[in-house]
Amino acid sequence: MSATSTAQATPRMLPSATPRRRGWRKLRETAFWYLLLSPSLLVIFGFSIVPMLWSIYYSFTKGGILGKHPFVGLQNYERAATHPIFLQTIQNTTLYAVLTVPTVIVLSLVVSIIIFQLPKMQGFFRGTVYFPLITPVVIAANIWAYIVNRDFGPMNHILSWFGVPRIDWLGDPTWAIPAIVMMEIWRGFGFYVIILFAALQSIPRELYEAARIDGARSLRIIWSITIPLLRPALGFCFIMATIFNFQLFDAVYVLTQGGPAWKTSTVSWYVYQQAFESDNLGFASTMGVVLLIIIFTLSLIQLRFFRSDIEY
Amino acid sequence: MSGHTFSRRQFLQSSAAVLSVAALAACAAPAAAPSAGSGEAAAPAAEGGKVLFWKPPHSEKEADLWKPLLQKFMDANPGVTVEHQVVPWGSVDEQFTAAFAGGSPPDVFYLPDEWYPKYVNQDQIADITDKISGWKDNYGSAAWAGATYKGSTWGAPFLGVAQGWVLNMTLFKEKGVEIPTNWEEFRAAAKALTDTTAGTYGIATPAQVTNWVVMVPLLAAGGTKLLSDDLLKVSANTEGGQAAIKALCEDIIWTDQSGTPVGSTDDQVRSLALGGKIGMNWVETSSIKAVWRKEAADLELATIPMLKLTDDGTNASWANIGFMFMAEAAKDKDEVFKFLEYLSTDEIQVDYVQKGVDLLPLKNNIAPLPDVDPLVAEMVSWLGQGWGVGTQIGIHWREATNALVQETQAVMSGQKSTADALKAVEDTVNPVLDGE
Repeated sequence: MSATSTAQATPRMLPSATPRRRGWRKLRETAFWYLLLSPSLLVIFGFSIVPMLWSIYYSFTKGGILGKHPFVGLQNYERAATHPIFLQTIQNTTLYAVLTVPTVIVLSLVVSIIIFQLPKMQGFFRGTVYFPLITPVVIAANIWAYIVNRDFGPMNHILSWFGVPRIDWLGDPTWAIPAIVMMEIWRGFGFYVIILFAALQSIPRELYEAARIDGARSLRIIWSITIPLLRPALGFCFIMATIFNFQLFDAVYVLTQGGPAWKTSTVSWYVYQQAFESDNLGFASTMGVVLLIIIFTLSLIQLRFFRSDIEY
Repeated sequence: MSGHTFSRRQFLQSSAAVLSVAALAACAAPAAAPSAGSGEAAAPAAEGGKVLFWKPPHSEKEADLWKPLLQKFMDANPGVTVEHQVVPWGSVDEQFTAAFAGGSPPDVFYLPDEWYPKYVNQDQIADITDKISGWKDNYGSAAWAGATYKGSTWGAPFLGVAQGWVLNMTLFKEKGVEIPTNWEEFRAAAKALTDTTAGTYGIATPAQVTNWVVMVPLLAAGGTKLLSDDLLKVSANTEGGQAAIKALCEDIIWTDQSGTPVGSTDDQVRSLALGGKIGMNWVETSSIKAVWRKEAADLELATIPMLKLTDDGTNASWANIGFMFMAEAAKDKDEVFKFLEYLSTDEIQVDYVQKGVDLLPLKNNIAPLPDVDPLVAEMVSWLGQGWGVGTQIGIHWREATNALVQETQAVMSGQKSTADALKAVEDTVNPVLDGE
């Protein structure tokens, strides 16, 4: 070892820091870390917090995107409470979420566990299930529109083998939402598979070995070990799926434009229509704020439900 | 070298700090684009300024069509540069709104009649009543009326389109069907042409979101309009209006199932139509030459208007008008107006509107081209007979048409009766109508 390195290795005797200096140093360190965070904070503030505050403000006004915005108090909220189309969009959006969220999570859980059990090619299958997610929505929607076409789509062709009559999936108000839900599940479940797969990898193997030594079978192990230990990841998936599906816009915009007969219109789509096409920013903002409150409340409930003290 | 050395921690801290500052700098608001109201874009043309010109396309070769025409203007006005931007139809709302809100709107721009009242209400379009009032006699009364809103004239009429049923006579002849002359024959023809096992359909079902361009002429065939003249209420829910919607949406599309599936996408319908699988398609004049004569050259075509249904009704065609506007934010309006004047010359009406995109020039003195497509000539002749119906200028028009489209979809898919659907349009739209 050289003399230099020996000297560096010897701790220097520092004069004991005064409480004032210690406080100053701590402040500098804190400021430093906030400085590192500042680009992200700035982006979040500029693109999320500020627009949200503006939306809340606009929800108490009337008028278009440009021009004057006279204050109207709770008038927009009173209108929203009785507006037939807005109430329909809330109903539709809730139905989307109710049909999509549990289905996509259960499906993702099953698929992630199956992939996790595979001795080989786990990466290939993870990539495969993720692939629909990276497909642009316009392309995915057009593929889906072909699949579910009443007269030449493969979906009806397959169902006809079981005697099911032809369904105009995107044109029949009864089936339009299920048709979009199926596409959203197809597009989205790869994301949750990746999350749950990562969580599965973090569960200690010893727990499984101990369970097997105790004579537990596969289903019992999944029910008593895997699922409880996946609770934090499942909670995250449920919350994200709820948020994504309550904000559903793109598939509706591309596939049905809210039709037929408003049956696939979501709150986000109607907000867009009111803000940009009808130039009714006040009412659009009101609907946006109501959606925010719904999503926020549901997220809090889910956070509480999935709260976990698991450590392993 | 000085004796001072950085520790690794100090180096990391310094690097991170420098990167953070750089990132923050990158997040800073970009310099505002040249504003028509305050900057270079609105500089007087004579002083060598730029004129920003936005137009949604009426041709796939929009930019190429304008290039020589704009060059001609620039040659005649040395030092003036016209910057032309083609704005996609699908993002007109977003792009114009963003440009106006950001203070960098185009100086001169094109918009159709259903879009512009919103921007008038936002004080973004210049009132050019004084500048163009002398032009009134150059245009047809319908075109001039369309440019007038709230008592002022806002734009120079630029082009018009007409729409009607284009009949695939190849399929008609194959099935031994004659051209319909009334609604009974129309329904019978649609039924006879439909054979879903063979993949043929009587009509292209007007279920897409823009297909109020079918519903409004349909209402005219029944003798009514979507909105009252004072724009204070929905006026479609009359006996004639109900009869019209019932005839097409309930009888032909739902009961007979003589149309393409309601859930078909635009691309699917287009593919079927150009493949000769649909008997009757609602088509705009501009696509006859550009699309049908090119992509379905083998098909024999004919055309009919929306056929009169009631005694009060009339044969009808959708007639849409577009205008050239000047932004309120344009600084030197007199100079920018010179460009708008150029866009209103006979030369542009002929070279762009007629020859370039095969649409209707709106100036009275422009003679039809000798080689105009016979189908286009037929459709244009309907306007001369007073069969053209179009937008009722007002800011709630699009809200009304959106409701009409959604509710007629409910009829086409058997969810509602015609009367219930039109009542629902009234319930949705009447509360927001204020006559604006």
